[in-house]
Amino acid sequence: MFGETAVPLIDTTKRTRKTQSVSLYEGEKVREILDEISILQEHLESLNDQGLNDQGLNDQGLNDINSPEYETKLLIQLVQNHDLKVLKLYHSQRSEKIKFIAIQELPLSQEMRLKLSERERIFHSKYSDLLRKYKCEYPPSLNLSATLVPPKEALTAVRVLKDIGDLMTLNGYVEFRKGTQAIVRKADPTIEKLIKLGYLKLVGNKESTIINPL
Amino acid sequence: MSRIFSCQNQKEPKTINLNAAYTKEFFDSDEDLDVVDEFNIDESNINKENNVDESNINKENEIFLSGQLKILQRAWLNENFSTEILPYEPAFERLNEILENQNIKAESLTLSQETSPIGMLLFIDNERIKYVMNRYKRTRLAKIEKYVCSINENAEYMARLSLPEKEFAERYKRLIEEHEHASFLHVLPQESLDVLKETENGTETSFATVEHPDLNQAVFCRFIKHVGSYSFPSTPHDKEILSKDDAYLVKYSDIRKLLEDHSIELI
Repeated sequence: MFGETAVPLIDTTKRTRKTQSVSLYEGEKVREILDEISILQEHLESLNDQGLNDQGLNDQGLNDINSPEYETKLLIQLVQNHDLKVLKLYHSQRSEKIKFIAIQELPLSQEMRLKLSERERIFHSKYSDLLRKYKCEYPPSLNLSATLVPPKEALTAVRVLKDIGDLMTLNGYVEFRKGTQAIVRKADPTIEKLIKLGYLKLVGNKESTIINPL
Repeated sequence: MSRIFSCQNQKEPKTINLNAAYTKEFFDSDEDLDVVDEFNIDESNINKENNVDESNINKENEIFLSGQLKILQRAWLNENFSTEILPYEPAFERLNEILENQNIKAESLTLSQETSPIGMLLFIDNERIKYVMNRYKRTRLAKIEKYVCSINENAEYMARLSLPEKEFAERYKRLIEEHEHASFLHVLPQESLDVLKETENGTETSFATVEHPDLNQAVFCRFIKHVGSYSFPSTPHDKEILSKDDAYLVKYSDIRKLLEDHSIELI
């Protein structure tokens, strides 16, 4: 029955609504819905042609409220409408998550790349470019990608999880060797990025929840 | 006490009275921000007399600085709770200038002594100001993205954006339309999409990235000025006396004008 192909995608959208990670792109389900819309469109066009052939130059049959053709046309448009809404919901939910990854300046991992469709990968790179352009106008002392957690202390202890070597931080040169700890400035953009990438870990800090505005 | 320290204070650390409420007070969204109104921020007033002594200037500067921060805090909360985009707050730029100066001071202090207490306090203070500024910008950015089409179509909303935000809104709209078209809208010709949009007109939904702010949404607000006798537009026959510190739960469209006049704040 028409309209039922969209049901599995609705379930997927509902299931993944609250998760932060992006799930695998349901290309097959999306293609099925797109096919359904195309078939319906062809049907609608054939109805139009039929109307023109039967009734001369104007398609009165399709605009007459009481005719069965009019009812078919309305029904087709209703199903197309429904399908497009489902597709929009699914794609917009995914693009929200992709945008959140991009604003945190996190690179797309290989695993993540496989989960995204080709269009979404293009979207991610274009959106990152857009943010980069916006950041050019942003005050240099501020970091748009900073974690939105209220600061409580200027200095913090970090544990080094992977060897990094010598790095220039706001405190000067610091050597980051695996297994050691260092006291660094929490607001340092370099440190923040290393924490996000998993090279460093905050010690004794439980407030690592990421907040998304709005 | 001001939350932003001046040079004068750095030389005399003993005069700084750090009370326990300092850290708690800063991010309390329920904090009474009405003090700002009393300061009546005006740069020309601050430096109008050249003969006043240095300590007086510093004190006035402190009031000016903390006033700017409070204005931005209020703007952030208003932006967070309102459904539509609000005018860009110029206090952001002024605060940015102050922040840069204060950063230089803190750097110079910690350069001579790495754990200088005043330097550390200045750093924490800077981080807190930066946090408010970042939250304000990110909230606006999220709102622009959410209502990108209605903002681009509405000249009034566009006028409320800063120049970089305008550019961002235009580029983002193009990007999201391109993405939606390539992902699923390409399946139908434009004429058919237009027909479907028309059938949806009653509910204001379509397949382009159109989402309008809901002006009928209920919001909590608090009066920061005495307004007097006033009737909300949705209930024109009921007059109410609105005085300072009154809190109401009303439709956003009812208090839109009052928010523009800075008579209320959203909480």
